Amino acid sequence: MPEDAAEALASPERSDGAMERREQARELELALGQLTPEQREAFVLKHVAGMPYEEIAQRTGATVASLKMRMHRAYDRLRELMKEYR
Amino acid sequence: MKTFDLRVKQLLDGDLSLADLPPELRAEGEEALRLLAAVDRTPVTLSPALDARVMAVVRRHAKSPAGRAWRWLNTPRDVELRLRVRPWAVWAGALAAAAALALLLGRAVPAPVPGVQARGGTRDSVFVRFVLYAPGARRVAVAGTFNQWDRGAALLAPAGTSGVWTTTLALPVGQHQYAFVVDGARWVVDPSAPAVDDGFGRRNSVVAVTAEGAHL
Repeated sequence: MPEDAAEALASPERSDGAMERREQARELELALGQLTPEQREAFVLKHVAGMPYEEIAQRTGATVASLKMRMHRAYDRLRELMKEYR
Repeated sequence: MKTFDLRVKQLLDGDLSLADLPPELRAEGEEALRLLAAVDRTPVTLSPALDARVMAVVRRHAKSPAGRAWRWLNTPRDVELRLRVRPWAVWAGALAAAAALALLLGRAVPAPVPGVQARGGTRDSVFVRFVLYAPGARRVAVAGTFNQWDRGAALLAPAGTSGVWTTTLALPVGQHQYAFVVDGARWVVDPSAPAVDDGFGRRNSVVAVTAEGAHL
């Protein structure tokens, strides 16, 4: 048996953690689907693609200030949705 | 709806750190960071087999007779020419060259395209990253003028389970039209790029590639 597989079987905490992270990622994916397209685009470019606000502004044509406002609303909406899923 | 404190939102934006928050906001800050921790940032990696394939093509090209002939043609050499001519022939030749030059200058010469640089007879290529958010898609490709609109030529790779698909292509300098193809059938314009009408009722995204980079 490969060493990694043996270690995974021997440490249930680690596999539980991985499962929890997958579950959280799934919940976030569902929650992202509930955002407006503009909020979702800003969130994905900032936190998934890792772009700074200035680069997102160049790509989308929106100002940095409006992007921040969009994102801050997205944070609140995501917080609410993630609570609903639990 | 219970909203995050503005300072917690600044923490999520990366403008503040957890230590910058007052003690009463730490728990809220940690909750917010847990939310972001669920973002799947699995990096998109290229297969090591790709490097091997590219290098195999490069080596094959280097060994080919056509490649050797091309290098022989391109290698600078000193060439000495000796001519025995009569003086009147030199003057006649100079006059003919002047007349040809005058004719050429009288014609309209097309201006070079701004931003396009040619070097050594071949155009430069620039790496361009394509990103599409398409949750639920099973397959995403990018097709455009740079790959003869072949919907199977450039597949995007999913970034984990985030719904984000990406690929990086080397595009020649110039303007290119393209669109994403989701699940082999649905054509989707790039929401973050300008689009033009293709003349057949559809829209194509446009990217301008210069030696300095890609411009949407």
